[in-house]
Amino acid sequence: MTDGIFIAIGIFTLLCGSSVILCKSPVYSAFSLILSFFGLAGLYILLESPFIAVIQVLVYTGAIVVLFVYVVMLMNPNSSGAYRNWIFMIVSAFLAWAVSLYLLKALTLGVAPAVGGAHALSLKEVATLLFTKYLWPFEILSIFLVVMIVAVFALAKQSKETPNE
Amino acid sequence: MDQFDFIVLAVKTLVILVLIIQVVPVMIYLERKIAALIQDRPGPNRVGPLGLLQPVADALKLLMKEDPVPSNVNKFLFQIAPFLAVMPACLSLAALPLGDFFEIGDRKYLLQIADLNVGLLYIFAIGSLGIYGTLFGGWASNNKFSLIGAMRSASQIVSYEIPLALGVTGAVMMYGTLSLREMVFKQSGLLLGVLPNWGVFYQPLGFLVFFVAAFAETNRLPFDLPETEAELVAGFHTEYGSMSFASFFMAEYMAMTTMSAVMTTVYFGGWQIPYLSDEALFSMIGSRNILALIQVAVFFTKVMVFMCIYVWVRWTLPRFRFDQLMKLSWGNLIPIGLINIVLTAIGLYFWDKR
Amino acid sequence: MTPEMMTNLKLFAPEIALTFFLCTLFVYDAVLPSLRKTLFPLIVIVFGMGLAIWATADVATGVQTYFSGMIANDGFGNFFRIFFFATAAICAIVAYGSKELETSGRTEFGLLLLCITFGLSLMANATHLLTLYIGIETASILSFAMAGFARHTLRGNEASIKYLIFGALSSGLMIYGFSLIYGYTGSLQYAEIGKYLTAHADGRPLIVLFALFLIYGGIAYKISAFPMHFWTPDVYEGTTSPVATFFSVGPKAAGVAALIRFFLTACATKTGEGVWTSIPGLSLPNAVAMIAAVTMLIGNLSAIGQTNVKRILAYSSIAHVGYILMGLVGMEKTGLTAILFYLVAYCLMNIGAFWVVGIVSDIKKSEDLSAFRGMGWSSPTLGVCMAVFLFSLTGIPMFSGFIGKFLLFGALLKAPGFLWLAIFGVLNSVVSLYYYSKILKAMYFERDEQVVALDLLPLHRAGLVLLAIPTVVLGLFFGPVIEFAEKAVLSFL
Repeated sequence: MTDGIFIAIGIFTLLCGSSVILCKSPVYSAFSLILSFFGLAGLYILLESPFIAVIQVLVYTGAIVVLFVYVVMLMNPNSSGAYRNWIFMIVSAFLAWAVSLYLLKALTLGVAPAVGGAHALSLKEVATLLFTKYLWPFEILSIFLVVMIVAVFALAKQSKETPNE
Repeated sequence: MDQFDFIVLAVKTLVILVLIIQVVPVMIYLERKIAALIQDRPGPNRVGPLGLLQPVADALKLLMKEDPVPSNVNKFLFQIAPFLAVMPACLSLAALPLGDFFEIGDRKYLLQIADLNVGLLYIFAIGSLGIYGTLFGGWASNNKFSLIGAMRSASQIVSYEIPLALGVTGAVMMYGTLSLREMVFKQSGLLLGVLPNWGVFYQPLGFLVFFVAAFAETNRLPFDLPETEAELVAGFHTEYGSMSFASFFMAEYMAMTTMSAVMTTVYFGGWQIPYLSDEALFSMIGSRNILALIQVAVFFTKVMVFMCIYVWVRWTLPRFRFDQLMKLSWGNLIPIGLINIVLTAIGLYFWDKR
Repeated sequence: MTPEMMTNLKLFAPEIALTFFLCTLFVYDAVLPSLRKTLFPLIVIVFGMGLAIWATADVATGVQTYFSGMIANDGFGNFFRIFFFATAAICAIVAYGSKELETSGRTEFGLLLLCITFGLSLMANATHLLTLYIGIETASILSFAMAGFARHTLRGNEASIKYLIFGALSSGLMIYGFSLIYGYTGSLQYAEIGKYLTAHADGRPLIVLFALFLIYGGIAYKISAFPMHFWTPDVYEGTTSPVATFFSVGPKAAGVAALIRFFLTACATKTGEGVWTSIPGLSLPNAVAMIAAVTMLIGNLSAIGQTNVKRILAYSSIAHVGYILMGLVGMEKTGLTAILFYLVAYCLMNIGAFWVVGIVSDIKKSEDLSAFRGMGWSSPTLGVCMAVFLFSLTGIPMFSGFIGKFLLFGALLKAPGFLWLAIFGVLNSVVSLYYYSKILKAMYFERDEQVVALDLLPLHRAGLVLLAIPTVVLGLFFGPVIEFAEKAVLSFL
């Protein structure tokens, strides 16, 4: 039965993912993005990691996509109009399918992954790892984040020159 | 998990969902009556004795009104927005512990739909999805005032999610678990022999931060700029008529209920009666199921106390201006929450509570 | 603190010094805004870099990897750290002298520069895919911001957005490769990946090749090698000259170091003192040779028809990456020494060339070839220095560029069966002579209608001469640098 659920959630995620690209209006794309992240959270639950699933919903769906939607609503971009070149789209879709099929074959051909026996980490184990083995990358990222905030402000500052060439 | 377990789970889900939805009519009545009390006027007293049938009248009215759809709206999003608002409100009820357990035959079933070991985080995650109903409703209405209301609401909710989580982090550190059921158990017993062992006595700062943030998360006064009547007509739900409006309304009250439930569970001992332990009660009563009913009743009493506090604050305090709101969150609540975490850590280091 | 933690911190001292100066800059900008317009940011940056270089030289040996196996401590890494810190200091001086960067934005620029250098140093020293990813992302994302910095024109915004979109795409592909490699080998550390791949050399599924290709794609984006080079001309043209200066040297060296480290540790085994052989089934030399050839070709051929000098230099930097990758083909110490030497020489001559372009564009407000008309006569310093840099870039004897290319070709010929690549490289160098000479022709053989008084600051004169002299000197006295590079390579993990 797990397989059946996996197939269902997988197809749902893929459909939502393709709808992100194919929708004409950006707000519909953002909405499909929310749904596909839900699908991802479902996949994480199937992998017995409820913590990661909840973090996925909390961070991605609950904060990041909100900012996406915010910007899309403020900018209110016009939808890109009718697709201009059907042949191009069909050819590239076909190529994407071909690459995906190759990937599928490559992924399943004689693979005995080394992490087959790994178990999903409990919350306590994740926290312990984060504060012992992976403490240093965690702290490094804080420097990066601070400077990134400065960079964003620097970019957003109004310049004294005219904004256009 | 055999057939019977599954049926019990389904019935349990339905019962809990219906129970919490029933809070909405009660709140409709209580809100207006308490508002009247505070404003020194009688309140609804026409429909039924003491106006007790007022919610019925309101529900009938909302059901039978016309549901207009303006012409230039984005039809798909306009009609889906109320669902997007109600769904997270309903989903987050899954982790709330209404009581300990009840027995059917010799099997025990928890009075909780799902005892997730990341229960608290789950409630926050689902709660953060509540923005989308507002955002899409406001945008799809093709109405500038609605859009402004929706934007304000979105930025407010996103800003106050952080103090919400920070306020609870102190309690999580203390209890060492994110599971709501475990937290209730850890609050049994007495503190210093006099007070019940509730979280609020250990984490007053955290409770304060969480309390304020909970008001902001549910768009209640004093943080209700997104739906101010004086400024924005009705904010993001201007264009919505009868049942859609009722959906938004219901979603707001259910979110309030969830927040109150989290407050009672984390800080006020959940379904436990103060000064009476479970064993004492059990030996007095003898039946597990009646004990379960008492626990559910206690839980709902505590939740209703908080709901009344919500209403009380609404009709007492004036509204925050938007910049004051933002400054409160980022400039005041987050530092207090962080200080609380540091103090809790120091306290845990010296008096190991585990 | 445990002794292990003390060792970790001591070994990380250069980057900690860097962070300290970053915080100093930050705090001073907030507390004393009046210092913003003075030399203060520059002093802090240069001093910080000097301190970091000094801290590098003091690093203890004996410990191979630290911070639980995430970062390496060897001569190779130290070489690159010194390289990045020196490059960043020189680029800070270039940026200070440029008129394009507003005075009020200097502190933010300095902050970005320091943090990007931090990220580059992480990239070059990583022995764990997580560190590599953090390094690449730090460097990339802050570069996106730097690309659009203080250039509020359409071109500048276009450059920043193009860089961002390309960078996001390649980061996504790269991390997909990381996850596939993790799933297959069970570890994210280079050494353990290498061990697993060697142990399971037969019957390797296609997915590993695919994953390695994706990881290569992510790193190739940073060094603008084929197939991820498309962003380079547009971004270099759109950004301000000091930023383009830094981009053309810093991330390229970091990417090359990361490439060498990852592919030699994870896809090859060490079979001798400074000799590696690739794991059977993953023919590293052939793949690198193909990529080097195509990159060279693209860079050189595309530069022929350009009229904007910054685009010419951008395409030439793509071509130079092709030359650099030639040194990796042999997978032994001569090749790697050649790469390290070439990077030093490339740093000097490229910074010099971009600086000249920056000066000219400050004065003439244009970066076309037509802006360079008669420059050689109106400003002799500028002309001579530019000529030195361009000759060195081409690879004319007596300049360091020639020595670099000579070493690279020499290392290539040592590996059997790659004569075609050496000949190809020489032909490409000949082609590059054309477009470098176009600039020289404009500078010396064409006259300008209006004579604009050239206003070179003493800083510019001194700086250009100080960059041109080593370019010539390294072409004659290259021994010490080569010895240093060789020592670095031999101490590679």
